[in-house]
Amino acid sequence: MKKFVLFLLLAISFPAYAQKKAIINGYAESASDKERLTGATVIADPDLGVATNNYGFYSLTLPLGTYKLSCRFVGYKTIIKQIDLKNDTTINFQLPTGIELEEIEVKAKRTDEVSSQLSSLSFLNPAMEEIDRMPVILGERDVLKTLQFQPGIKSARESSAGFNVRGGSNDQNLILLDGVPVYNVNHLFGFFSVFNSDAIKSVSMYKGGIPARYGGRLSSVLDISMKEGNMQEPRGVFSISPVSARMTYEAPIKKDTAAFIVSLRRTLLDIPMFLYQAAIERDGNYGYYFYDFNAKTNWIINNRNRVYLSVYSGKDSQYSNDNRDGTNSKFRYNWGNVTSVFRWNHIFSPKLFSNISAYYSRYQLENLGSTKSAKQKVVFHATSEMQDLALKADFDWYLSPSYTLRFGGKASRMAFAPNIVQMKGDDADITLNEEQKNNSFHVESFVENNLKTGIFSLNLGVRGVTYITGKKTYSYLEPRAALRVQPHTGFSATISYTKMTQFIHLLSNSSLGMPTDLWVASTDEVKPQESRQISAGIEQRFSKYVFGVETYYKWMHDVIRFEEGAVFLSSQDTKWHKNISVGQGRAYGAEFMVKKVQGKLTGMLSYTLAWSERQFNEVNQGRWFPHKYDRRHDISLLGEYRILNNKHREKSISFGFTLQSGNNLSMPDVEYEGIYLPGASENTHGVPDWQQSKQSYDNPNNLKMPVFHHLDLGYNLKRKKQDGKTYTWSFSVYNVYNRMNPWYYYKNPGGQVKQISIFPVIPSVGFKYTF
Amino acid sequence: MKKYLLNILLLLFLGATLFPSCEKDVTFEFDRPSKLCLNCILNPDSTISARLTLSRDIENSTTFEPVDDAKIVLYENDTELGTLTPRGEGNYYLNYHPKNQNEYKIVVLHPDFDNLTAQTVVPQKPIVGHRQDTLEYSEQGLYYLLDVYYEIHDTPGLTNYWLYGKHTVHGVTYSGGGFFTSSVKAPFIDNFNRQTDTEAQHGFTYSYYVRISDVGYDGSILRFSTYGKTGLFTSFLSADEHYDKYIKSSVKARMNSEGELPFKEPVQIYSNIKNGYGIFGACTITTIKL
Repeated sequence: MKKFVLFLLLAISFPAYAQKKAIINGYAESASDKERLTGATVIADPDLGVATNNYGFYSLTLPLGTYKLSCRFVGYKTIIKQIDLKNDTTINFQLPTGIELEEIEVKAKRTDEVSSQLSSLSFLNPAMEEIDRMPVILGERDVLKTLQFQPGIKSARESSAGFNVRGGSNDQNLILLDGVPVYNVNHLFGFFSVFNSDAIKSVSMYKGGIPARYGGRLSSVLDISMKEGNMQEPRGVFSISPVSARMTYEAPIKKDTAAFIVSLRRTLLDIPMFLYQAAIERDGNYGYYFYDFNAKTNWIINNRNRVYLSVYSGKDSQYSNDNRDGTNSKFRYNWGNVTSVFRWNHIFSPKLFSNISAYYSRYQLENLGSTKSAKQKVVFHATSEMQDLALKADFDWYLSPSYTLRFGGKASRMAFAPNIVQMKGDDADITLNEEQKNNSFHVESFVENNLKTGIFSLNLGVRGVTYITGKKTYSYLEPRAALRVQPHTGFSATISYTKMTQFIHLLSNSSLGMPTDLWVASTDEVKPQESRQISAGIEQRFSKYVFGVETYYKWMHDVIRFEEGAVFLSSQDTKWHKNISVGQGRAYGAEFMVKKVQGKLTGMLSYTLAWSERQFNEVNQGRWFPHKYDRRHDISLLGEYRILNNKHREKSISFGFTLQSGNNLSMPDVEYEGIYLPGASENTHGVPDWQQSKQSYDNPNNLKMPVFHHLDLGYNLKRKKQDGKTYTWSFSVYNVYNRMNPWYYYKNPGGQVKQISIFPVIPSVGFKYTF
Repeated sequence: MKKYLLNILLLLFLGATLFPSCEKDVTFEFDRPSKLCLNCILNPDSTISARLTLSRDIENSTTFEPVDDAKIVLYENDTELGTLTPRGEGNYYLNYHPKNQNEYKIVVLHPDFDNLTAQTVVPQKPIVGHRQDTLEYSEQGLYYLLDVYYEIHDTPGLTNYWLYGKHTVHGVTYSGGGFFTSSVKAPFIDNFNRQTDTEAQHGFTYSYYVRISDVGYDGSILRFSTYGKTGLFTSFLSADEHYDKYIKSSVKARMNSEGELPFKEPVQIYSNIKNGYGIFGACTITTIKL
């Protein structure tokens, strides 16, 4: 009953003040390509303003009168318009690209205005042009890796796209591409993410204080938007790195009305392999490739309606074919995502904006092995697949400049088919685990109140979730609250509370981003995961610097992990839910940051002190133990020095340094006498050694890997032609001083522990041509 | 543009030199202080014996050092039963037969170590019936091959059974769990160690032992059949919660060390000994001779 009352209280909107007013609404767009700008600020003097939403829309209700209306966005020139407000008016801003003297200050303010209740330690909104200039590994731009320099966001392993946020595991991050969840973000066994930076418009990330409009994961939300397509003229980008080549092309279908963008990225890794095998006339071949394909089109039907259709498809494939002694052997390891979304933006009234969408997302992995000869034919085929089909509606209701109500809902059907194994021979055809297929249905709704009054900014919301699977229905209410107090210019204090629920789980042997990682759904037996997080912090902004401190505490319930000894895709014939342990987790820590936001030298230095622990009744006698990615200390430095920036050329040096406590791993460190297992003592051949002595450890993750650190440098040179074409060379050196960080350990049959390091010093160069 | 094309070719060349990995031997300085290891399994059919030794560093290959100067006290249903007598080489003994369904607590006191404590409850003896059909003589005519039908009359409450056998041929005794592992199939058999084996009778085998859990079958009659042979002793061991976990984790650890796949979840051997290692558990055994 309490929960119901709370829901009602939150659902009832705050009253709007009745005065004689008129509405100004419209869009903020880039003048060059009509790309809508998310998070641009529209301010009516003296001090009333809003930020544009994810679709570039804003609405301001103001008393009748004369106003100076300005629109600003980082990387664009500010536009100021004088208006005499007598009636409801639509004003669209087309911002020309260019650098304003005040740009850096605007950049600093941007985070405030987009998510006014959160500090820049809870909400990140890096500009793509900043990400583009950061040092990279093998010349490959990667949004996820640049984010890993931020406090509280750490890669699972060196140079892995998988990441852990504030002590959570890497399946607890909701990763959205144009609003569609992407379930596998890894290419090349996790070394690169599936996001092609040339096709990305914007990135935003929540680590704490997650608004009610997001749900489904415990630890963070990463919201990535693709570019929409140039409405003005055809444009393109071609770029190449040692890993891949990328081509992006966008053009109007009808000027100012409809446009499309297509982007293709494909790895080059298999080309030298192919050439080598051809040169030695190898009987058979092997190789690896991945690709991404993004396409998006949009059509402005009229002032009130716009539709979008976007598609993403990506695949990794590792393959080999062998022909020896009359036997043909084939091996395939394929995995990939397909997502597609249709969206309809409709303006019901100058104050009410809606986004209605239908999306489909699929993740599939396949492991195929076959041997054929004149005598026999054997096929092993294992697949895991999940599909997500959803209908979603979100509404932004701009009731007053100080109050915005957001509400919406989603209905989704998910289908899971984990680890379906078929073994086929001349005499047998066995299919295992078909009974593991299951479907689930969930309905979610949310309401979110954004209120600004005086020195207070408040986001108060609740998300209601019902999840139906098998014979069980799970229902949850997730209250969310974020409050920011700004007693004087430059200083703010924030506090937030977030409750999240997660219905899907990633069973991972290693968090390597290996295709063996398996997405599974909550079932009658396996409850959804839950988390509660409280965070609080302060932030002080000066003209050139920003200082911030934020602390957090996160409780996690019903988290799952593989039972000890469990291995997927082995010949062990067990159901996944028989292979797991259910427990709880806690993570807490403090994040400190100093940012320099103005001048030729900009960047951020951060330090994180953190703990992350887990407890499972079946493990470690039920005692708490450190999480695999419990990293006590983390220092990160990310920066850029602009050497030159004029109409014709840009030159900059970028640098990234990280120093972290090592990961934990479980490795036997003690040996003690064993007791013979049933019947063994009477065996004439004696008792095997493995029963006479036991190798074990006091607690899981008992061993700390060595401190992890590396320094990366980048140099970017951009030449700008008068016809709008640009040539950009990016030189990077990853791991400048050749630190051999351990990637993993294993024991060889002789019992010797081996350390594998993968990334020595790696120089690389990338090239980008825009036309 | 020519200049750029040349540079692109250079990039392709660099791509071929990707990911030179490095492998090296490492030695960890574990430096774990020794702790006491207590192993004691209570069985109503036997008097009580326990072993007390010291754990050792994993790099140390010496034998386990026995501990003879400890005081081991046993309690039955919270009443002191007695102190186990040291018999040298880490062996301790108490002339007492534990009772079914009684609760036992053990305390080990030693001046150089923290006290060890652990508890267990002795399970009820398994009630097992069987019948057998003769199939054929073995090739050597040493025994008959049998079809054997077993019935475990499960008692209410959580019970875990481990199956093993013993057979002596030409004076050589074969003993262990392997007599059941490739020929049984029943829904109440725990699949934690089930391996796909297309050549096995049912398409799978169990590694080392067959474990039966009565979860979902509490108090029922658990029926299954398997092959047997005359002269074979088949045993049904009902293990208490702790001994059961100890056996299971030991089998898992063994399987883990045999597998070829990397990145497996490691296994911590189960122990219920507070402040030390080892196991204090209980079992009851019913044995049938075919």
